Amino acid sequence: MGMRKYILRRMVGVIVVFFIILTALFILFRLAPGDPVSRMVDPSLTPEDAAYLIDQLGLNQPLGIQYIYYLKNVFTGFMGISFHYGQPVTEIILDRLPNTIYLFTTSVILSALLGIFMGKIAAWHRETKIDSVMTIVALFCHTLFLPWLALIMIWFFGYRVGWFPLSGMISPEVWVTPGTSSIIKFLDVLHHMALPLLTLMIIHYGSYLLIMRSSMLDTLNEDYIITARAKGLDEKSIRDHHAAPNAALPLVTSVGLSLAFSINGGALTETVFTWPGIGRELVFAVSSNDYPLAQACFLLIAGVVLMANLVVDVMYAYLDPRIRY
Amino acid sequence: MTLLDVSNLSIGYRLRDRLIKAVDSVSFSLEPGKTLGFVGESGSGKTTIGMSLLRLLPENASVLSGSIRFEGRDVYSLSDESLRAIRWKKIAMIFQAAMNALNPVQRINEQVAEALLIHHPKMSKRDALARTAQLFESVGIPENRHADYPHQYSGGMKQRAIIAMALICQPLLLIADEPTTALDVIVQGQILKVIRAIQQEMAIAMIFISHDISVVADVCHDIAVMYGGRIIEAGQRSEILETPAHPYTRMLLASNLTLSDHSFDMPTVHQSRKANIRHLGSTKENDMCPFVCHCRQITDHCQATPQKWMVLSSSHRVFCNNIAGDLTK
Repeated sequence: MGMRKYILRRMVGVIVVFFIILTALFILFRLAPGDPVSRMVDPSLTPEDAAYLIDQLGLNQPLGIQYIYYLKNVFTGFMGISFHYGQPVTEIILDRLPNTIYLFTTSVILSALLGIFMGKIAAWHRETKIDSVMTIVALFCHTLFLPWLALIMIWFFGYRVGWFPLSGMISPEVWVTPGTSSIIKFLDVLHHMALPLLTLMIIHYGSYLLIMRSSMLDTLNEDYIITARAKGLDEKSIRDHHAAPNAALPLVTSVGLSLAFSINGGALTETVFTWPGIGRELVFAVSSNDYPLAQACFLLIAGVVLMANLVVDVMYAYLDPRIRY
Repeated sequence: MTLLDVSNLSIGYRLRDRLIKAVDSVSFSLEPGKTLGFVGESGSGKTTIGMSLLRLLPENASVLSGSIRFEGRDVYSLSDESLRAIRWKKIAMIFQAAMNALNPVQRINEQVAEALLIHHPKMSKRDALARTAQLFESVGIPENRHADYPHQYSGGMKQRAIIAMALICQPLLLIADEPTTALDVIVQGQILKVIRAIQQEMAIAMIFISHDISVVADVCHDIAVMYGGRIIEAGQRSEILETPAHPYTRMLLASNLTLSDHSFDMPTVHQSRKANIRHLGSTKENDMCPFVCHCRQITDHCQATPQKWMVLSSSHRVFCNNIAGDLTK
């Protein structure tokens, strides 16, 4: 069976699962305790206005009809109006999403690269000091409590040494000044991103290191490594060209899924660093009963995770020729 | 000039507090173009010898004494760089676990060509692949399968690819460690045919390791029989097959049933590994007979005194002092 047919088949699966999630979300939000009508319509309105609004929102329609409207809206990209902001939900999400992606995608990629590289080195020097130090540090960092580390980072690098801004994503004064070049703006974002990025990397690189290390140790015992050595390859080529590519395969899933989950950001990280991203928005939407916004965020996350799964599987098939599709 | 000269080689594996002597005082030499077969059961030290020739022993193994001289140079005192230059270019190997000897994520012809490129850095990849294709044809891999991945090959095809890989640099010595053991009898026959043809055509010296004396008899000029880490009998093929001297060799030959043989009273050898486990530190030479626990011709003398090599002809020697007057059968 060809790759194309495999992808097509997987896409059909993804669509089916997406429908199930869509329906589950619809039901869940209508099962939420209390009358949805009273929650969605301000009680201070006159009964006439309330009736008008209910009619406008379609809340007096039977559930089946509501469901069809809901589906129609999802597929035309209209996810409702945020109760809090009074803006279309899609606009809010499109505004916050890039911020989250900049920070979290970068952090996943950098932690994975760092972890894979260090895991490779640790395995190569197995049972030496280098290995134990690297493993212990990785474990230690991995168990740190993120908000605590974030506060320490802010306190030290932001306050004591003062190298990085305390919070936010941009310095307004830089952006409002007319004629600021985009390079300056880019560097400004980078400057703000440094601390949260560093925090996330410290927390996350360790898991990649540990997975890579154990996978690499298995690989180094394989017979084809002896073959490579017998062929007269130098140790560095054996490590980098024969062992590492095989050892890195199990990391594709974990990196791929982390990338997918990176779009929901991290409520904790975004809150501590006041990073204007999706994670913070989602927490806010849930706590302020902003149903359309919360629903849209959930749908987005579900969709992206589904797509990422698909991409990971396809990548696997490409990277590991043994995968049959 | 002698191509390979191994003298008094002993190799041990460290296991926590113990030292297991896997190879004990082994000596042999090999002339260019000749084939020497090592035959013996699992754990007799055949593979350890094979791996030691390329300095590929695992980390917990070490050469306790003796030397391996290839083209007059001591393999174990070579620098890493000169060792790499010898590996595959002068001495190539067909590994025991041939099924896993290929990297699963690289195309087979590229892996084979890689060996060529390592030793001929100026060669273009295209030339190396062309040379690989030529060799693949001669070992019987069809052209449309050259660029496959290992998992797409059958066992026999993998073995052919590995033979091609071993030959790509035209080595002077080929170590074939159980090259046909994982294959069924029909494919085994085909592969042996390929090996024999290449051996005759390219005049490569070969060390052929197998537990199957009939396979060794099929391919080799000389045969060395191993037991408990020692060579216990060595000689030309005809000498070993027709006038076996050591009781173990005789049992080995007798256990090789033929269709015309109607006796089902097959001799068996119960191996006890205790024989070659020595405590760490006691590397003292011990020339007792390794087969003493299982020998049917055992005398009190065997257990009490160290054995000496008996020379039966210019090529035939046996490590047993209890055979006098018994050679005719």
